[in-house]
Amino acid sequence: MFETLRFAFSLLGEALAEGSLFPLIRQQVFYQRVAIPVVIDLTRLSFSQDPLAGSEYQCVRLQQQAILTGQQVFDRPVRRFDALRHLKQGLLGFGLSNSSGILFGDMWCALPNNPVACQDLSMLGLSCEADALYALDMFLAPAYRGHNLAVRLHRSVELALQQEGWRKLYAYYWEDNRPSRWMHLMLKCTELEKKRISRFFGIKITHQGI
Amino acid sequence: MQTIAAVLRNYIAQNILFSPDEFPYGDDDSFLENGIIDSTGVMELIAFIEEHFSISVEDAEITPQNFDSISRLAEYITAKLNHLPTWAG
Repeated sequence: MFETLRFAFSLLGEALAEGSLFPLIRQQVFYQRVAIPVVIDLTRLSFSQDPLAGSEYQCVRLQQQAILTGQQVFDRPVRRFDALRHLKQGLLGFGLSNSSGILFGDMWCALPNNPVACQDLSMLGLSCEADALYALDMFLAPAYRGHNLAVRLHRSVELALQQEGWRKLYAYYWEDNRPSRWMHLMLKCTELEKKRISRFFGIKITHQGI
Repeated sequence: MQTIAAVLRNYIAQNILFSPDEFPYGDDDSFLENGIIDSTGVMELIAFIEEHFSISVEDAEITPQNFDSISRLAEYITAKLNHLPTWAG
């Protein structure tokens, strides 16, 4: 309970520091927003090299113990809270670190039978295969945006998952999230049937038709 | 008077690629394939297009057919200015 409150206050603090609560509220309350589910066939990807090769950045697997002991350090406290929460929920986490080893980006994947994934997959009307994962909650600190790092992080995660034997990666983005839309176009995801979703905090409704 | 394509080339070269020279790609070269514009750059580009050409870009119109090259973008803007149909995803 304490951790949840602490997380909520951090989220609020960050939103206020960025000048507006609107984006935060917008994530929790909306009506008939269009979600675009996507899938990437990991078996068809061929990587000539690590997407981050030659850069000062590195994609690392996030681990609870490493975070708790300070071996893995986040740029933003709220992402640290999120990471510990996600790891406790059984998600697979990947972080993007700079030359100082500070994590300024992260991306998460869930097995299809994970409750976190189940909720979203149900909302999207999707069912994942046993050898597929569901990607969620990707973040890149604002100071690092504009250098194609989001795509490179995503590609690094795809490479890692491919090497681990996973065959597909599902995700979704909001049609009105233009940067996310463009990123998914760059990733050449296959778009699936769009869904119209309404949300009031914890309550999500998928509308019929689009 | 500059063509739409020339306006776009200049804007992208100066404000997104920060190139001192002209736009270094062909008008048909894919933005997505060549990584010419990333997700932050596309937001800046859309803002510029909306302000410069006084048009409104709808979310569903942000598609490769409309946005993936100088040529396609110029065609899209021309269609919008002439109130013609555009590709919508």
